[in-house]
Amino acid sequence: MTDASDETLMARVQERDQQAFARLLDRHAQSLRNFLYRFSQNTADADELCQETFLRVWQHAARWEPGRVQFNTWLFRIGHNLAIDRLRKHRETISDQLPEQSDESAELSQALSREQARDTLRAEIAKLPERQRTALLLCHFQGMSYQQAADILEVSVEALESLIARARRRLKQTLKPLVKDIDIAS
Amino acid sequence: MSTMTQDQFDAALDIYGPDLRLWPSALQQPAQQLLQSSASAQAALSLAKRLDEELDASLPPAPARGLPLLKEQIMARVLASGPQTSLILRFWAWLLAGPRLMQVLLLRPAVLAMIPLIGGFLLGMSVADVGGADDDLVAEMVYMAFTDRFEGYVNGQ
Repeated sequence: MTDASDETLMARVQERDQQAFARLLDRHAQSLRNFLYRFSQNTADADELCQETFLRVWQHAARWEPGRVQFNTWLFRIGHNLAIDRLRKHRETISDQLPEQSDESAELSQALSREQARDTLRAEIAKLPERQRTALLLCHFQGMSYQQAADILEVSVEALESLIARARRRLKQTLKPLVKDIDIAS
Repeated sequence: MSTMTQDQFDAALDIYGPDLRLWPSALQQPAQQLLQSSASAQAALSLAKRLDEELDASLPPAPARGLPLLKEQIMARVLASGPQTSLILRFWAWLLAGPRLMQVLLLRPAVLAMIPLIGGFLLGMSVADVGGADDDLVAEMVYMAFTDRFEGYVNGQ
């Protein structure tokens, strides 16, 4: 069973094979957890979302159609949708927790250490529109192809490229004044 | 080979990132040419590389130490929820899924198609039992249906 493809394992999961499910869990839990952790920037939330995602896979395995979408894509789509739902429910709480971005970024940047600069970047990532953030996380951090990321977000590849470009442009604007301070700090 | 403007270079940089090897092959050569001659293109590439480095440093992977416990918790919930799956759902999963082509395309739809057939047969049998049809009455009905002497039969001839 170790070498069985995701599709073969999912066919067994559909017949309620718990060993096949455990194998899929071993194979994909770390990757999904990393994605959810970067998305939520919180370990407890990431673990809870990861658990909920895999439970949905088990409970709704019959809905997965082989050949229509890769298992990995389906898994991340479920995880992403759950993360978005949670984010929307707790949007105010989350925004309260984020550090405020100063309008006087040039002056602020002079006082920032490397870690503070990264905090700012993290906060800016958290403030990206949901789809831009997801596109960036899937392609840059998870190393997914643009096609697979587009499938997860259920958009065209062109739309995905646009999301990534807008995310990078915005983050570069944040990074520009900080680069000098990061270099000085290091 | 076409040349690339600074705007085109910036746009491609935002889409495909600073690793030119990952750019579409048609764009790689023009981008390299522009980089050789343009300081602003070099600066843009440098900032994009820096962004990727800072992204990696800003958002590291989740701490690995919690992963084994998380897997155990997920499996525990799955084991707890396993037997609760209804027979209908399990049958539905079996019917619609499977890696073998014959299973999916022929056998399972055939089983599906037989369900109303068998249901109708069983229903018919049960109705016949409930009605307690009289054998003589049935014989008379058959006689009336298939004989050309029906009129005489009615008149008692």
